[in-house]
Amino acid sequence: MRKRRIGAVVVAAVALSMLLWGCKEKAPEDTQGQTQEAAQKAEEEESEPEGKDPDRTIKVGFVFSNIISTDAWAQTSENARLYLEENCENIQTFKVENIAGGADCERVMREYINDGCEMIVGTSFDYMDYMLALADEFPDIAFINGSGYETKDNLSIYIAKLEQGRYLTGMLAGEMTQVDKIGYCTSIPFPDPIKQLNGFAAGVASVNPEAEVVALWSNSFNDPTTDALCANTLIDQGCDLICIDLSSSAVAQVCEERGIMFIGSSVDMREFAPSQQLTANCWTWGPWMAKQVEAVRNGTFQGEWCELDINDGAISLAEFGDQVPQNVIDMVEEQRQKFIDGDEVFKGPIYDNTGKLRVPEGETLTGEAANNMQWFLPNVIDNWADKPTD
Amino acid sequence: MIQVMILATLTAAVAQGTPLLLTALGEIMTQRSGVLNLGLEGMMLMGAASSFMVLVNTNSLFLAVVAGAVCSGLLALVHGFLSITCRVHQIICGLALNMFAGGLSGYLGKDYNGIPAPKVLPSFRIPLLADIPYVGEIFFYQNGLVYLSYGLVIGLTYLIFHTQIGLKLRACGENPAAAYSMGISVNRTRYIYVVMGGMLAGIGGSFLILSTVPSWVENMTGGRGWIALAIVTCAMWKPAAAMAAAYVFGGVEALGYQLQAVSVNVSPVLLKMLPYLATILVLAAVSIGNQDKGAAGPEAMTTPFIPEDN
Repeated sequence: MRKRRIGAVVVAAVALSMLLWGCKEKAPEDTQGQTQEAAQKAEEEESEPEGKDPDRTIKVGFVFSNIISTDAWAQTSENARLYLEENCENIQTFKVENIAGGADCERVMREYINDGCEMIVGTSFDYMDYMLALADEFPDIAFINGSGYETKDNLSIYIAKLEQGRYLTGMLAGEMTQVDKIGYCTSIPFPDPIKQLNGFAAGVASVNPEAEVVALWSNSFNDPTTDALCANTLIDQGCDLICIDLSSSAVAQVCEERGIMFIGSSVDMREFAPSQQLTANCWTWGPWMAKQVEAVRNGTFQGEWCELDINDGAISLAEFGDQVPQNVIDMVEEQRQKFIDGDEVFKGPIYDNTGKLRVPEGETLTGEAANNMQWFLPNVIDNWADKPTD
Repeated sequence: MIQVMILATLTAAVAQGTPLLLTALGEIMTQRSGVLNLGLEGMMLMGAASSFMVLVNTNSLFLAVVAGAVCSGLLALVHGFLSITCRVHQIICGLALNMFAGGLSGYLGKDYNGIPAPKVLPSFRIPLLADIPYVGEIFFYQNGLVYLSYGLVIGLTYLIFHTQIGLKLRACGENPAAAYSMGISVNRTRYIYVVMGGMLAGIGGSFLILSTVPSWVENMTGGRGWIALAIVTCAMWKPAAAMAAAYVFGGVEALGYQLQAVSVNVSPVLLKMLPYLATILVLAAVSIGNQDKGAAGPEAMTTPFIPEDN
């Protein structure tokens, strides 16, 4: 017993001394490394005082409001980040996930700027106000945000003419529904989701004038429990097909479980629902973002409201499900080609669901004007309780 | 149409209310024994996370529920140790537990984000009972954990109010000194019920992941632990009343979207506020109607018991 205890003490003493010795040995190395690094840094700063070397490494900081793998919208911007890493030279990207819009996102962006990032990519509508303030404070940094309504000289917004993709899936839905009642799970009634809903409804109406689109607002972008409740509600109400405009996978999972067809959003959702997805509206920002990085490199970055479209490759559809007949696919493809050739989604005359004329004969609604919609097409049951009157 | 809507809302009320009910039942036991555990939200999260991890790795629903119960039971044991043995202030300890468990579940679950659950709890009909019009559809075509909650409501009501065991439990919470003098080991009793309460909160969390939303998302409980805590007080620490309160709260949530879908335009912001408004109203009503005792709950709740003093 005693022997064993002495043995333990010896082992402990040896271990301790080795530890101390190790520390002593290592310490100078560390400081040396640091000074070397500091010297290198100073040298770098000296050699490029203006920071205009075109071959310099551009650091790009991404901020995500959710955990990427649980949020389809965030996934689209993450795909863009991966695209930059793969296709751009002399670039270094960083990402921080799960940062809610608030003081926290500002803190993270400031840290990025301190660490030498020349470009900050916010990926959430929630970041808008903080990025506007930071853009004023740091005029030399390029800011871009995914969705939003205001720009500055050094702040761009990226969004797409999402109604084009929605129109195509609307045609698909109008053809596939058996009961002429299509559910549409969406987030918060502000102009962008409204535009998408109307685009979808226009597509439905183009092939099936009898069908109605029942919209349900979850009032959040990603609250899986509520999303699931919304999907269940629409199915209970008799919808046989659901189009998703939410970021969680919950709606897809409910549809898979209850055997209801659905159309995914942002990314292909077959991982969660292998059999019931007809297709999905997919959004791609990578190539556009690569151009922005080059603009930052050349010092030509100019903040603007960028609405990408089908010709930029920003809008595409996921592979069609097995249940979609070939003639429907052909029809959708034909319309897709028309959009590529410049066709518009919202062509007058358009009346809203209260009977008011919104777009006169011969006019189209596009771009910024389409992003101010606060009304709905006649085949939409909109359910927006606090709809502004005009 | 109206009939379909009412039926759908009531069925959803039971499904949405069950995780609240399971968690509240556990907390009723905990508080009745004289310990306040504010860590319900954290324990539900831990239950959900551990259930999901076990489900993905073993593909067994039963093991998933057991894992949820065990992990949250262990967390509750930590709360028990701190509040019963170390006599730490229970409110502070409960809040700390919440933050700790919220963070821990997020950390442990980080590799499981964005994975779909391999399966969900199946709903099945109870023979005969499910054939009763309306009632059968609402209450007897649900999943196993819902039936477990029915059993628990009946069992706990009987246990707490009609047995020796229940008398001892209440004595520990109302007058621990008297219970001690009767030969009851107060602190041991409290330990048992704190851990059981934790296990039920864990099963409540499991329900969320195995039935409501079959994939793990950090902080997926979204404040349901706090609603469960409100239910305990609303129900005046009675299991049957907790059942009613849980279904009302679940029902209000479901009703909001049902109304929206038929274009009855009630502001969703108002509907989201209703459960909390209901809690305040019930607490006020109970306190006014029960002047001498108010809605304070078990007399000795949050007071540590020190045997040597008695």
